[in-house]
Amino acid sequence: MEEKIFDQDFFNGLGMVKLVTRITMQGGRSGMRKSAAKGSSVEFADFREYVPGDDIRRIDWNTYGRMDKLFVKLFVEEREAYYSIITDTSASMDFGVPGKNVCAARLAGAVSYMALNNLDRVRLSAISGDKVINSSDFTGRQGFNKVMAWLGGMEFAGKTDLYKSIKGIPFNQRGVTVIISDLFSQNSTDENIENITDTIRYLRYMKQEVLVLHVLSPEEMKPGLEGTIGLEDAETGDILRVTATSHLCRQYKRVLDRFMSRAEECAKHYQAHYIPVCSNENVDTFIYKGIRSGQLENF
Amino acid sequence: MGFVRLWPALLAVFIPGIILLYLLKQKVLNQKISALNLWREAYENIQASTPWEKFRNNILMYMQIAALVLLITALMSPYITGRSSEYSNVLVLIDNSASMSGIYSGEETKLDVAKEQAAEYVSNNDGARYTVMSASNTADLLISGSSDKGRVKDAIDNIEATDIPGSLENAISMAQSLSDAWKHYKVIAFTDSSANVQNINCEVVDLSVQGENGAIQSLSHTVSEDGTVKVMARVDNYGISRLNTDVNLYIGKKLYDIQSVTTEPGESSTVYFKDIAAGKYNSILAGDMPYLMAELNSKDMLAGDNIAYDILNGESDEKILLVASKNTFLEKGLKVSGNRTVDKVLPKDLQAADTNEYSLVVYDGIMPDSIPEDGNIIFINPPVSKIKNLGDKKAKEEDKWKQDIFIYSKKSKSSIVKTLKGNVTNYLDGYSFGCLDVTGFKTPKWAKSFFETDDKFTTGYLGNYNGRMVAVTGFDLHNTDFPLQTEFPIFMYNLLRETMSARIADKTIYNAGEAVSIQKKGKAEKAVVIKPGGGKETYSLDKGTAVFTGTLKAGLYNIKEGGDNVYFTVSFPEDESDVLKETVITSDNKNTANTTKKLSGVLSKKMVVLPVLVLLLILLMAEWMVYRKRL
Repeated sequence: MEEKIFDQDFFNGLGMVKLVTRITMQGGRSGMRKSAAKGSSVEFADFREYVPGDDIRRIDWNTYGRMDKLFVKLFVEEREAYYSIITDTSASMDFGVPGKNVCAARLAGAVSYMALNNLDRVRLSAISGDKVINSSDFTGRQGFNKVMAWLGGMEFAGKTDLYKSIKGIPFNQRGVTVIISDLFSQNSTDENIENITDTIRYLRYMKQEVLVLHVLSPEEMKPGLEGTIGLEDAETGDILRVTATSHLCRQYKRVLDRFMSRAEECAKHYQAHYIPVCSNENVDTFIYKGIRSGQLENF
Repeated sequence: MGFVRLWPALLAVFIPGIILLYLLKQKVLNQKISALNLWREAYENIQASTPWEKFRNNILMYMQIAALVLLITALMSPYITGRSSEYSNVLVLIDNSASMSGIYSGEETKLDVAKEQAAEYVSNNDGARYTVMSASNTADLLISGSSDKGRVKDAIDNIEATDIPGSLENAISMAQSLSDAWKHYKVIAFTDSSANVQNINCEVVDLSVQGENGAIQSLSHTVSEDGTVKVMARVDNYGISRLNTDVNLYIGKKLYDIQSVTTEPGESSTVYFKDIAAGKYNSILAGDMPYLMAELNSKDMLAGDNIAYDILNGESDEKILLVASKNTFLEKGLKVSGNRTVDKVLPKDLQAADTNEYSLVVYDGIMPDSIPEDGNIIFINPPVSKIKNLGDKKAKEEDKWKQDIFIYSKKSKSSIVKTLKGNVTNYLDGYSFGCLDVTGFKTPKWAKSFFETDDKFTTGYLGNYNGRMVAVTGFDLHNTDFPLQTEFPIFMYNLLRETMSARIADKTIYNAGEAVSIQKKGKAEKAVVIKPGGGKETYSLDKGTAVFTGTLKAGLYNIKEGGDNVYFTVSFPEDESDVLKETVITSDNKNTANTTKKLSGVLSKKMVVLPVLVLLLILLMAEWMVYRKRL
C-alpha cells in the first residue's frame, strides 16, 4: 500500500474512546475487562464462609461481629479481552478512491489501537482465497508499532470465501472478532448473504462477539457510469457489457441498498454488530458510528 | 402536405445504416469494478423491463436520424395544401390538338405543362368532383364527376399528344351542356388557340408561345413522259424570323438530295430536287419502301411538321380490260385513268383473253360465265335476262357470285337517276340525269349504292366483294346524256379510283384523325397497321373491311395484308403549324373568362422548405452541443 495509512489525524480522538464488550471474559491474562473468575480487583463480587487456607486479610470482620461467623469477601477478577481482527484482502478490496484497502487497514489499526490502549490482546488475520495469514498476539501500547508494520505489509489480491477462510482461524477463548470486508465473495447477492450468515453463526458458535465493518468505496455507493462500457470483475475477470444509463445506476443503487440491509438484518439476527463504512470517511465518522451502535464508548 | 419530388425518399435507406453503426461500432471501454454480481443483478432487472434499453442512451443516434429525415424532407420540397375547393364541380379541359405538341420551355411541350398544372390543381384542391375532357377535332370525356384524385390524375396523365387539327369549340359546347346541371362549378381550359367561352365560368390558361417554326406543307412528285420523276416540296415559315435551312430528301430511308432554302416569316418557298431517273423510279416502285420523305434540317418549336411523305403508287403498272362491243363513251371515260394501259376485247373473244392479268375488268352489256380470280370488276348494264331469275333457283357453285352481286328488282322504261353522297360521287353532289331502260337493283349487303332511280331503286352500287371491288350500273351509257356532261369524266375518275387504286386503303394521304377504311384484298384474313412509332394494330377482315382510327400522329403508316404492303401518309394539319397565331378568348358579359399563363389554383401551394431547413440547422447545433458535452 503506497498510501500513508496512519497519520496524525488518525490518532486524534482514538485515545478518547474505548471498545465495549458484552461478553464476560474467561481465561486469559489479567486485564481491564470483567471476568467470571474471582480475583483481586477492587470490585466486590460476593461473600463466602471462611475455610482454612483463605487469606485472613479478606475476612469481613464487621460481618463476623454481627453474625459470629467468619466470612471472606470475594472480588471480580479482571481479565484482558481477546480481539481477532480479520481483514478481507481479496482483489475486490483494492478498489476505489480512496481505496477500500487503505480504509480497511485504517479500521483494523483503529480497532487495534483502542484494544491495545485498553490493555487487551489483539490478533490480526488477513484472508485471501482459502489462505489465512495470522499474526502473533499483540499486547500493550508498544505492540501497536508491530500492528502498523503488519498491516502495512498486507497485499490485496485473489478471491475470497469468507466462511471457508475464517474456519482456518483458531478461536481458543471467548473474545471479539472484527470482520473488515466488502462482503463481495460470492457470485450473487443471495450467496453472499448466505456466506455472511454462515460466518457469523460460526463465530457466535465459537463464543465470539462479532463486529462487521462493511467497507464500500464511493464509486460503489454512488456509481457514475455513462455510455456503453464493459464492467470487469476485479476478482474473476468476467466482463459484463452494459449501456450505463441513469436508470441502470438507480437500479444498481436499489440492489446495493437491499444487499446492505439484508446483511444488517442477518447480523442483528445473530446479535452481531454491523457498521457500513465508506472508504472516503475519516476515523471520526467511524467513531461516531461506533458510539451510535454501542460498540464504542467515551471514557 | 405534399412533395414536389419523391426521389430523395430513397435516401431513407441510410437510416438503418446509422442504427447499425451505433449498434455494431460502439466503442466499448472496459472498466474494472470490485464485484460484478450487483451490476449483473441490476442489469438483469432492467433488461426484463426494457428490451430496447440499448437505445435509451443513444440520443446522438436519434438526433442524427432526425437530421437525416429532415434533410430528406427538405430535398423532397414539401408544401402545404389542403385548401378546400370553392367549387363543387371542376371541369378540366385540355387541348391535345397538334399545336399542343410544340415546345413550351426547355424540353417541355405545351401539353406537358397543361397536364402538370392540371394535376397540381387537382392535388391542391380538395372536395371537388372533377370531370376531365381532351379536345382536338372532337371532345373526349375521359372521366366524369369523380372525387377520386388518383383516378382523375391518371386520366389527365393519359391524355396523349396528337397531330389532329382542332379547337375547343366542341369541348366548350359539351362543357356548356354539362355545366347546366352544376351549381358551383369552374371550367379550366388549357389551350394555345382561340376559344369562344360563352355562358360558362371558365378560366383559360393560354399556353401559346411565339418562336421559330418551319414546316414542309407538301411533298409531291410528277412523272414526265420520258419516265423521269420531278419532286418538289413547299416550305412555309411560321416563325418570327427568317428561316435558313436545308431540306433533305430521302427515298425510303436513304438520303437522295439536299437543297437549301431561305424563307421570310409568313412566306412560303418551293424547293425542287434533283430529278429521279426512270430506271431508278421503277426500281423504287419494285422495292419495299416506295415513298419519299422530305425533312427540314433545323430544329424548331414544332417537330411534327418538319417531315412530309409522298407515296409513289406506280399506277402505270396496272392494266384495264374493257369487254364491250362498241362503247366510245366508255373508252373515252377510261382514259382518265392516266398512264394505265387499257386493253379492249370483244365479247366473243372473251374466252381467249386472260382476265387474271388485269387489275380491272369492265364488262359492258354482257354477263361473263366466270369472273377473274382476284381482279376488280365493273358491270355496265348487265343483261336483264341473265339476272332476272337468279334468286328463284338454287345456284350452282360456280354461279353463286351472280346471286351475290345481282339482286334484280325491276326494269323502268325511263327514270331520272340521282347521285347519292359517297366517294364515287365526289364533287357530284345533287347531280341527276335522265335515262331510258334503267334496271333497278336491291343493294347487296357488301355494297353501297351511288345511283338511285326516282322511284328509289338502286341502279349503281360499289363494294368489296370477297376481297375485290365490284361496281354495277344498271343502264346503258348510250341511253343517257350523262356521258356528254362535264360530270362524266369526274364520275369515271372517281369510279376507277375507288375500284383500282384504293384497294386496300382508300387513298394515300389522310388528315390526322381521319378514319382509314381497310379493304380486304384477295383471301387475306387480317390486316396489320404499323404506325410511325412502330406500334402495331391488327384488324380482322372477316366482314371484308375494317376501319383504322389511330391516325393520331402525322407520319408514314404501313398496312400489311396478306402478301401486300401498302403505305399511306398522315399529314400534319397546316393550321396547327402557325405558332404566331394570336390567341383570342371571347366570352359573354355575365361570366368572365380569365385568361392566364399560370393556373391560379396552382399558385396557392405554400412551400415549407425553409422552415424544415431552419429546424435541421437547430437540430445540428443541438447535436453538436450534446456531442461536445459528452467529450
